[in-house]
Amino acid sequence: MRIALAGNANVGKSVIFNALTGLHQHIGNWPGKTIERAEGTLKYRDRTIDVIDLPGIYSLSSFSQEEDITRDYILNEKPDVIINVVDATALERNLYFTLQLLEMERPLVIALNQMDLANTKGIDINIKELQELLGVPVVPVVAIRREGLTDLLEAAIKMDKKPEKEVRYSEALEDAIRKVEERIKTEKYPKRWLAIKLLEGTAPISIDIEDIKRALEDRISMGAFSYIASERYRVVREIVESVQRIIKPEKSFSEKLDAFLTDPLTGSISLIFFFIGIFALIFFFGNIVSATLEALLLSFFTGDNVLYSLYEGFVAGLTIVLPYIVPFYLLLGILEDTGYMARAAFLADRVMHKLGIHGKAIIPLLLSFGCNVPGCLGCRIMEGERERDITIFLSTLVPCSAISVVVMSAVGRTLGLAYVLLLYALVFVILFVLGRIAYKITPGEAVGLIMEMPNLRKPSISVVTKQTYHRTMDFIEIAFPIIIAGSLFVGALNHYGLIEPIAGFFSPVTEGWLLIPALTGVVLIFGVVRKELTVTMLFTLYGTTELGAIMSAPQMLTFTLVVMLYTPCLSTMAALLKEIGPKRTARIVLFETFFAIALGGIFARVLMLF
Amino acid sequence: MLSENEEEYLEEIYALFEDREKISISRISEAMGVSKASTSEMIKKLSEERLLKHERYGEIELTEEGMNIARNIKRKHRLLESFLHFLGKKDVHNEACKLEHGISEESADALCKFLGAPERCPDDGKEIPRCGKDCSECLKKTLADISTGKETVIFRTLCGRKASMRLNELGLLPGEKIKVVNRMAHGPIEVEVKGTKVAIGYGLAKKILVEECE
Repeated sequence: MRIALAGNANVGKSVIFNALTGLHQHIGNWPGKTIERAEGTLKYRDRTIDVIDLPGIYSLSSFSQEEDITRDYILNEKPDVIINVVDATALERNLYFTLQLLEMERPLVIALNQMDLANTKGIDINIKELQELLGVPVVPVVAIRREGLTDLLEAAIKMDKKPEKEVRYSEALEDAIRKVEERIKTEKYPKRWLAIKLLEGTAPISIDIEDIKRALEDRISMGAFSYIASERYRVVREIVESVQRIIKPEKSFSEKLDAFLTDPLTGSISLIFFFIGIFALIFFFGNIVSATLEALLLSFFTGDNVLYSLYEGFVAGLTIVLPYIVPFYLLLGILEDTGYMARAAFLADRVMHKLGIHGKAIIPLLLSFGCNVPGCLGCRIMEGERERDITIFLSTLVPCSAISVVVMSAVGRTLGLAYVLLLYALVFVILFVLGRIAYKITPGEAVGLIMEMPNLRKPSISVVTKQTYHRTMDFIEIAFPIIIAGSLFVGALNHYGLIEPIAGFFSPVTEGWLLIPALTGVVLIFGVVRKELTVTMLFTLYGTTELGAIMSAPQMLTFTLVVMLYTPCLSTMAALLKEIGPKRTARIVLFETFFAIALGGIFARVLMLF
Repeated sequence: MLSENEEEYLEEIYALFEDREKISISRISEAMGVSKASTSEMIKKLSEERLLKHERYGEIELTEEGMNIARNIKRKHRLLESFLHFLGKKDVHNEACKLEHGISEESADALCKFLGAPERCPDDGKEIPRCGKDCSECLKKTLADISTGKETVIFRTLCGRKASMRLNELGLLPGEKIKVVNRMAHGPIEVEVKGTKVAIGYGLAKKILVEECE
């Protein structure tokens, strides 16, 4: 038996999923998509039940990958029962989606979640009446305390027929639906559902019904899509008005906290403190743990054969995962689960808008200063492929903490802080310009910020830790082979003495175009494994930590600028691959490599003018 | 009835007047990309029609009648640009240039009302001249004008198709009463709708026409 959980975002779907499946879950991605797919199994009275957690969405109009996934899953995979998780504190918004699920004619059970919160908000819902009006079982639950879950499961198992009731819209709309239904020949989709989708203009197939649609629009004198949305909301309002009573609500603590956190003044100040905290965590905790771990692990074995580079690759992966990825996923999970993410995006929207992306991008971009890997992984919070592609591209250009180490030890120590700031300023200008260009050339309609602000709430520890565990394992699966293979490759080149010939081969680029010593070509290749290798290897190769003896000031600046902008490191590439697939990853990697070299050469020549 | 060409000249003179530039034959020919000879011929013609005054070697000045016609053309032009912008078109200027000569007064007024009597053109940010009648009936505020704590009713959304559909689905439909619960200066606006809170970017909020309610 297969049960699918469906509902709006932030209604406690994943809490129910976790409570039902416990440790028996598998988190992966939907085929060909970057949306998380959570599946699990549970044993109940000698039967094995598969549970799938569908993405949180507000409608089924196929505006986003999440909506497509949910729609296609319900239509094609035909789960035995759909559990529609509904937030009892926002009945009106949630039932809008429920109406659409009802139209899909699959057995449906409603889990009315957060009943406790509804009570404290003074909301009283007549469950029996709601059940009658919708024609499907409604089970009240408090998922976070596991209340009502057995009843829910019982109801779901018993449910074996499609919803009894059909929602009736206005006469004008019903007329049009009937006429469209007559033209539908296919049996593949529920007829009434398809008819409504055709009128909306969001159907998965096309049938010529333009004349019916036009006649409807003339009759109601507004667009069909808007009209259907308003009809749905009208029906929903009728239901809500008859089942819900609001007793004088008190302002809850969560609402007071929300007001504080989104106030233009106090909210902005807390956001800044919040980010300083994240920075401190990634810079100090991450860097210290990463360095200690690396030193420790590398001191166990030493060697310089090819196999050793295998081990080095493993260490490189581990020193990314433990200090950066795990805390990042924890943090991301908490941000998502508490609803603070939406607040941060709200506060940052205006600033981010200047980069052509909206507020949510502040999270991945700031995380990227610590490490590009969590930055890229964090881009999944951007809804809309267009926004995500731009943000992920910009994330890979943000100088991470490893690059900061390079800049400080190469330029900071010899030329002083002023030059460090100059380089950073330059990179920010480039970031800004490339952001604007990406905004202009990336296809798709730029949709401004439209974001639901979920209620602030305490994070569910079990949801967050489980999510972190699964996401981390998922990352390891993809990233480790790449990091280790890459490291092995570079190690093999080194072992067979091929590095210097290669550096020689690239000397037209390094010596000829960038005007820096040919040996830097070697470290730039190693830098792709780990960015800090660019400077540590330079020290080793020349046998000095005094960079001033190796390069002139302009050469140092050019070298550092190239390091700041060129090819993303292997771990970042692995993250990119996981998030956006091979084609777009290749595009970003190639662009940044050539762009850094091109810009570096121009920069070197500009420096000669001084 | 003036020819399209005459109207184009008057419109350009009005644009120069708006920018407080010195209006001369050479400046007009430069702005329109035509020869000085044809410009001076047209200026002579318009002057004979008493639409402008031109002293030899002096500045060109529109007469009251000329000014009215010119302002009206510019108004149509910018209203059409606003409308084409609403349709999601990119290069709105050239299309508006062609349409402005064919559109009737009634249609222009209806368009103005449809767009909620916009003050400025979204294409270049310049002021749209008023029709001279009482605007209060057509004038609509946008969601971006509503301050925190105020309730308002949605009149129409002028944003792109995709954004419009998403707003509709969140319950932001014409006739819906919403409340602004929080906002950042020139930043997003948080509204309460259908019992939940939704944040809307500033750019989008400026395209949502609303009716104030007391």
